[in-house]
Amino acid sequence: MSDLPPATSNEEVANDERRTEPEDGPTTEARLFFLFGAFSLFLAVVYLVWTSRSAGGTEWAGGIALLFAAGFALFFGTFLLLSLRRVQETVVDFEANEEAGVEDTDEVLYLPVTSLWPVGIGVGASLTIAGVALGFWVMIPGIALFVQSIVGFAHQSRARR
Amino acid sequence: MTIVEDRAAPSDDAPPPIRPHKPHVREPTGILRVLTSSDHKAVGAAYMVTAFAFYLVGGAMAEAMRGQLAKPASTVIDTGTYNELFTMHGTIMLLFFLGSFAFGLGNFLIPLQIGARDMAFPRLNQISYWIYLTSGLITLSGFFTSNGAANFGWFAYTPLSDGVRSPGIGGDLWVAGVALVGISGILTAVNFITTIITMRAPGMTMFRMPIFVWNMLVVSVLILAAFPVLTAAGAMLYADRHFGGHIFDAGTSNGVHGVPILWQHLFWFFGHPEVYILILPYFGVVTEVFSVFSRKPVFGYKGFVFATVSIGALSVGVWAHHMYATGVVLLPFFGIVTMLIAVPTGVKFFNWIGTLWGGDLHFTAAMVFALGFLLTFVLGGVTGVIMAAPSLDFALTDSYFVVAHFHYVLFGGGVFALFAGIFYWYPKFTGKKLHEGWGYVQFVTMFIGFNMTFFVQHILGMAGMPRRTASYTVADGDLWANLNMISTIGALILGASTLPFLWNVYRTWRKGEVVGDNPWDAGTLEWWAPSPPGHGNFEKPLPRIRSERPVWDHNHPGHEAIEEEHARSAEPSTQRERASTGARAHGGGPSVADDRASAEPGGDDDE
Repeated sequence: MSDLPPATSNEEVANDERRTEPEDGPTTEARLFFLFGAFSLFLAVVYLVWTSRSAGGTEWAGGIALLFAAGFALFFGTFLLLSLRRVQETVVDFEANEEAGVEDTDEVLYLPVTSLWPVGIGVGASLTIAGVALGFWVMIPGIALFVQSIVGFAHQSRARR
Repeated sequence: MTIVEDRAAPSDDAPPPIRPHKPHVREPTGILRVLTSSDHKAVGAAYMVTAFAFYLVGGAMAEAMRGQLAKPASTVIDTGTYNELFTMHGTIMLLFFLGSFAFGLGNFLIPLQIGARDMAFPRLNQISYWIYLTSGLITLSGFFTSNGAANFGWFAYTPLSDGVRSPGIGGDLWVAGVALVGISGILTAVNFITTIITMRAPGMTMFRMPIFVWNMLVVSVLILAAFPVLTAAGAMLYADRHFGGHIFDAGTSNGVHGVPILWQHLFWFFGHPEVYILILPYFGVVTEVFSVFSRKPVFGYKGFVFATVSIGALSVGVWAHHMYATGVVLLPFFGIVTMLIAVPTGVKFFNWIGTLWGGDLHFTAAMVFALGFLLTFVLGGVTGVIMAAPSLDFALTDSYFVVAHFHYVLFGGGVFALFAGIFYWYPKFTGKKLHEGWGYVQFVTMFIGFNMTFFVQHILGMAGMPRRTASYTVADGDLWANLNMISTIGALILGASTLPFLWNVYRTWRKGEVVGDNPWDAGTLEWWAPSPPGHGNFEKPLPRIRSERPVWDHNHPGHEAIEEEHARSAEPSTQRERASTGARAHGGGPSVADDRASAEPGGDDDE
């Protein structure tokens, strides 16, 4: 075994070992999304202005798709900016609870082993959409399977403790 | 593991649960357990096996097409079947094989590489897999309908793909399958992003993640930008085909009309980021392979990450370079942005060469596949820059030159790297190592077959042979006939190269060499887990994560000082700065092979 202290079961190391960087300001994760969003926004503006001055006139489809891409990335970047450090702390709590063997809490890392319901949801969703093409004889069983599986999934999640 | 076991069977002195708790249903065993497992490794393995099966199906279609084209005016398969085959070949390879195999690698490896116990949403992961599998089967099931499968090309241009010109259930099933695989991809991307952002082990900051994880993160962001557009466009096409929609219909009714070219914009707004979604994971794979088998950290780690992010950011602004010949797109904008992508891609080549440079190279099967990737991908990249120029593209578009280009990128870049990844991670997947000798046999046949098949297609394209043509005549000349024959022979060799691989897998299953946790002496966290990893992944406490190679740091104590000394004596500046921070030692400089000789390889010394 290593002479270095183990990383996950030692509280001191866990506190010392940050998951986020840099220490202050937006984290790398948030910066990634901001960069992506800002660049998409820049492309959208350039594209819309440039096409509006071209012979073909403004091309809206690509411009709007770019604006959507920018909106999604900026939205998610903002979410990360506001909440990532807090979320990361909660993750630390999960681990700490695990290590301490705390049982009387919902805040533990739950690893499902097997579940039949995702199979039903996946197959049901596919049958439903294929049923649009193939007919009701495929679609109705698909919907039934999908709904039953969603319900089963939800019950399984509640029953886990 | 203890933690997981504790939860399954709480000890007697644990406080009673707040709610009376319903005992969990009996856990299934055998095949049902494999099918219903939500373990990220089971889902990842299922993705990889399924994707490989689709690869075999799509490859068989390609062989049939090459058989038809071997000689002029041949009648091996009829024109209609040929159209179905190239449509389904493209659809399967792009949507159900290459990207999905990368999802499999990601599912298996991301939690291991960041030191997590599973994905953030294990059961959502399972849902993605089942939607993916069934959507692939739905798309393929078109072959069993009376009018055959979809036959309008994998990008389904309107008005050809509308209900008037391509009636039949095969096309509908294609639309349904493509929309569904888009949903599956979105769910996987959400899962990857959440896992990478919230589940990293203590000390695993973003800039200490393996490059593969970084690339999967950027891929997931691109999926979220691109796949919804595909699914939405698919729904619109379906509305046009069946519900009397006129979204892509140029015919005027009551003075208003739809816009056929809108489909091209929407499709390629998905389609071009999709190319990077397909290839970026494999950039990550070869980066890991080069680093491990050069015994060096990745050269210019941060530069590599920024190059990946730049490729991702630029890739949303290049979609209409597929549409130059339509005459209604803004040529300078798309030409400039497309050529800009060559810059970060070039940076990556410098990173890879820098990683190899002066390293202690080990030419394992994984390494030779990765080197094959490097050679073929650079050729595909160069022809890509050629076609980024609108003036050249007008001459080359829809010719075999394009076919050669994208096969060099996607087969040369994707599939070679995919096999590099299989050979590299197979010990982690199964605990056994694939046979290296059969790996070399596979590589040599694949490399020869691939270049024979596709290199001549550049010349065919320049000689004017259009893509998607089911036949040609003797009057087209000897050049066409000869080159097509060479290409077909190459395709046979290329197809045959799969056989050594399948034999290798079978052989390894029966009597493969059982290896330890870390047979390659690799540095990333997945090699800290047992091979194959059990439920919950790690059995030992993780090593301290101080760099992007925590396992290497642990197994080679003091290597930073040695590297620093080498760097100081060999090359000036950057390495010295980095090594002196103590956090990580990047960059070139001689390897630490001499230090390795004294250290026990692998993580076996801990057991």
